[in-house]
Amino acid sequence: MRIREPFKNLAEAVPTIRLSEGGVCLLVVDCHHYSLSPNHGYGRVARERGIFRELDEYYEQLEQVTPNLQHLVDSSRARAVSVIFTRLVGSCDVPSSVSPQARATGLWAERSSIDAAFVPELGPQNGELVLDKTTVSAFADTGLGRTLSTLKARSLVISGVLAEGAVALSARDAADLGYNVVVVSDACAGATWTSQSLAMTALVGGLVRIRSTAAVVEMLNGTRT
Amino acid sequence: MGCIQTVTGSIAPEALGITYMHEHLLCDQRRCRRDGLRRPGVEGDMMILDDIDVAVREMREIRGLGASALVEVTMQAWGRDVGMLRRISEMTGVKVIATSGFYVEQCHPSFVTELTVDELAHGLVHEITIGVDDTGIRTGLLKSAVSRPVVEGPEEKCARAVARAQLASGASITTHTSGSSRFEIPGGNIGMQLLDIFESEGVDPKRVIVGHVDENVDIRNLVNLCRRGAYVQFDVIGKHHWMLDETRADVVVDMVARGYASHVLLSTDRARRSELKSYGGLGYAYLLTHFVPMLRERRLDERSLHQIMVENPRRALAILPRSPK
Repeated sequence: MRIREPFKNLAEAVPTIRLSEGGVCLLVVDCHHYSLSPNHGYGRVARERGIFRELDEYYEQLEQVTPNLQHLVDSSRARAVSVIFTRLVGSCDVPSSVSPQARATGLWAERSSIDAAFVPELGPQNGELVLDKTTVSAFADTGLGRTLSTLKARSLVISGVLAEGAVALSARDAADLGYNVVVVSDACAGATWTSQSLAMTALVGGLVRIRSTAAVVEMLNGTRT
Repeated sequence: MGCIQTVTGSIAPEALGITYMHEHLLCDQRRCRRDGLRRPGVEGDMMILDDIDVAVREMREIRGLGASALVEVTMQAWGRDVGMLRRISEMTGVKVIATSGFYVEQCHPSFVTELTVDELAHGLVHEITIGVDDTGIRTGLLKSAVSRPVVEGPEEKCARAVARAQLASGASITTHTSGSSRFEIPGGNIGMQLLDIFESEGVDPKRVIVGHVDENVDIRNLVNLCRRGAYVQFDVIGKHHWMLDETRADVVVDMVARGYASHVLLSTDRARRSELKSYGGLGYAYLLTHFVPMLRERRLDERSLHQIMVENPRRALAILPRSPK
């Protein structure tokens, strides 16, 4: 996606970071059955409306994104980087259990359903933290900021779905809160190929930079900036 | 003043006229490794130019507009074919200068990891002094490329090899400067860091072309590059997603007004089918049919224009023996 970004030409350079120096957490945004499994969540809703084909590009991306996410999670665990999972869940019996914004879209998972469960290949292990979101951003109403303070995190690697939704909003919130942010371009899926690419292009700036999975692993190893 | 090595042989610098300083005629990005998501079955807007008839047609057009020569900066690992470049040159009358060196790490040949810096440099010098493979066709310029926000890892290794090849061969160095990382680099391009590395190897910055400066311009940075002696190359002309051509033209005229006409070079960096006239794009001709008139509209004098499009390329492309320190 090629767009003009004249205001970015005015900004100071995004500072360099060294992930290998520690203080890093990996955030895996909304990678549960609702989002990842074609027979659940988004896919089910699309089928009910007779428009499943509209999500072809999204699921195409996930075929590449999911292995990258697994590699990213495994690499993080191997380097003792804390992995934090989020999911947007609520209770049908308690309308206020999700934010008005999420409630208005209807695109969230019932907490007790399979939709809210993590897929086996990409779920928390050994007590890894799961944050149940009620909003789109991972920072609103989840206590993520406090968690990151407790973990003494200075840098946040962000992956998951949707690139232009929860990932982008969480990245911008994290940067606004002062964290160095690395969004992993090929570990994030968007609604379409174009919206994914546009989101990645638009996010760069301030404290946000974009890297591939391979590059992030190299950064964690200390072999690249 | 040395000589200029084209794919059809050496020429005196005076034989060179209007010169495009950073272009592709034949290239194929599909040969490169690729990080990131890739839409199945869709080539999209990859850097692929593979039709010699299209290249010939567009070269004849710029020849008709007064162009004399073109620097072809495709590297060996993603489609350089010096034999085909010679054929295009012979069919069109446009002199073509081929390049030795390395593009970004995703397009590095596998031997980059295996060979030492000096071994890599030796291979580059061989192409400049003896020829590419067994073709006998010599290259006339070196290239170094950086994709990261700092020069490090395999790209630093290649940059040092290019620097050592410069010292041994006397050919200049042209550079690709981190377009996708431009917002992470103070000044907007990696030129300063590259000059530091080249100078640490003994290269005179006057033999270095900092390319792609018009992807993210800060004129203060361009002035500082010129003060160190380097050329600043506005070479993505017509690519408005980076910057409007009106802005480019303003900056070129501003650089001339500040006294740096002898450092400015121009080109269009056509590398995609969509960028060629034959496929509905602006084509190589755009530089002469549109951008040069924009410079004239801004009252750039003909002497400065001649300096930028003729005299500077002659000087930059001349292969010079190493000057004693």
